[in-house]
Amino acid sequence: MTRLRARGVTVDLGGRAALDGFDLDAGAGEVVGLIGANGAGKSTALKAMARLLRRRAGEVRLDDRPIERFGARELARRLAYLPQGHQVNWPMSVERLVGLGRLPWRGPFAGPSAADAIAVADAMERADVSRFAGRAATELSGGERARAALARALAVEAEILFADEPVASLDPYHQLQVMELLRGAAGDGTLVIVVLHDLTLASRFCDRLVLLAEGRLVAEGAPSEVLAPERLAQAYGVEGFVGEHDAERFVLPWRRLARSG
Amino acid sequence: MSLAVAPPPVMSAHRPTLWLTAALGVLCVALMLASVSIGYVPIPLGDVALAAFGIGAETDVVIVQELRLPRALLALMIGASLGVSGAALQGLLLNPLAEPGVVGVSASAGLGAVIVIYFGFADHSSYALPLSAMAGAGICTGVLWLLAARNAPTLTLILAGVAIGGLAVSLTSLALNLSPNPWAMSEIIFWLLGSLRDRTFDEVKLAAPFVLTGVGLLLVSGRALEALSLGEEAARSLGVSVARARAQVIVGVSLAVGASVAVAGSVGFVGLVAPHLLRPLVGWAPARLLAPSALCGAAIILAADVLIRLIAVGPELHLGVVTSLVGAPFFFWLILSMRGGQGR
Repeated sequence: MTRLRARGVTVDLGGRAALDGFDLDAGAGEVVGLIGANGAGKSTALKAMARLLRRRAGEVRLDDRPIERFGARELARRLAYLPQGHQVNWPMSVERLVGLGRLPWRGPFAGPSAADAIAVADAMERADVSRFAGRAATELSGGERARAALARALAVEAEILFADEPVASLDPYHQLQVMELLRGAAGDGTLVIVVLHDLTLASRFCDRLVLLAEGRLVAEGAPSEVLAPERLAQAYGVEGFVGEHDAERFVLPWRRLARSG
Repeated sequence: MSLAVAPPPVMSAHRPTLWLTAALGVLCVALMLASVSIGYVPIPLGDVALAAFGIGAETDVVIVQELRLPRALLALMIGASLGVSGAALQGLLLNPLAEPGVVGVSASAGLGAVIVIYFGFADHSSYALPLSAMAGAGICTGVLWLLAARNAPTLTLILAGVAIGGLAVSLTSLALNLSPNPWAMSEIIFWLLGSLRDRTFDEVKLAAPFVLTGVGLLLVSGRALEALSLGEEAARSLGVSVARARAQVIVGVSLAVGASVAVAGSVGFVGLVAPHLLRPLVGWAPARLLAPSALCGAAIILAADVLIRLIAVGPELHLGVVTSLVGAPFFFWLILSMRGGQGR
């Protein structure tokens, strides 16, 4: 069973601690949401755990093995990372873009195998991009490109999926669709760690939330605990409106609070 | 996950790329044959083939073995070097305008060679000139690499390359300006114009090891370039060592372009034109662009060199002059057509 543990992870960026003593313990089948204001260290935490940033202190273990001990491709097969921004530099087709997710599985000079083709088709189906598989990725709308990028990450078929703001540029329909998809992936045994700004989606679709402020973890636990009004005030400087619908809690940021100090 | 997915879609263009590569290979062979049979002394193709192995009339053997075959082989090597260097630089710098000539690599290699000619080091060792040219190319690509490693935007990289190239050209002009005698000056000028005239197997032997190593390094960089089209972090998350890929492309371009410039002078724009012509045919995949670009570059240089010999007006045109006459307007057109932004 997949187990990811971070202990005291500290990362310096530009001379200051962008992340300070970050802890996390998460396993297969969970959806963990990283939330917090801009610059709180959410993306930094994700990158540090994916071995994309140098840590000043702390350790990350995957299945009780330090993450440094994994080979580059071995780790790439087990942990898929979807960065913010969904950069694509050449007008390659969506299908080819998604196919890049299969690189960790391909030999140095081998072309895509039948298994790769199936994984790509499945990922495109799940992210709802099959309809424009042949279109140039650079000509898509922001939301379409976000889903194509998600399909690329899904095509890795890794047991851990890190997604940095996967719903940022999506319309409400596709926001729900993507969150359901992440939930479904967790149902199939994937560990999903997702950075979110939408508190309603965070409270509805995550098993657990981790709230960061100024590089430090300030709260961790069930959404109803983490999204308490005083915490929202502290971490975001907003007053939240908490409601209930279909027996599920939702949180709406309602108005800004005057900053103290 | 549903496994009931309808027939796997064709991961298109793997086969078409093979066909394209094969077709370009055939074109190169045909142009090689044309190159050895066309010249001031017309020799029938059959006699050329025999003469290449030392059979037939003595003059034919001399012409083919000592003049035309080295020339054709050099055209092949230089074209392949420039074509694949352009494709790899464009993949690394994520910009279709990157090219050994545009980003200053060719000019820096030229400066390295001119320094050797100017100070007369070339008399001491036949390796002085190519080594110095490769060092020049290496310094230029190294500076670009340092900038890229500091996450400089691509535009900064291109402009920095243009500035380095400008500096190299001005230092080369300084050498011309201070040149002790007109003979050294004209030697430098003719060499700078780029030509394959009067080359022998000595030049082929000199350049071949460096060109082969450089082109080889670039040809195997495809996987990393492919991943890099998603940006550096995504590439690294796919298990690709971006640092190694950068080093590989920089060393490869330095070796291939440095050696090419050393034996043929500066020949511009081939690295720009070849990948651009092929990119739509390979589905814009950086990895699939490498081998076809090498062959297309070779075909362009071979064709240009044959053309030069067919145009019998006045003194023979220099290769670099011909490629620039065609390449510069193409470059201009490319910039205009890119205004929309999306790297087309």
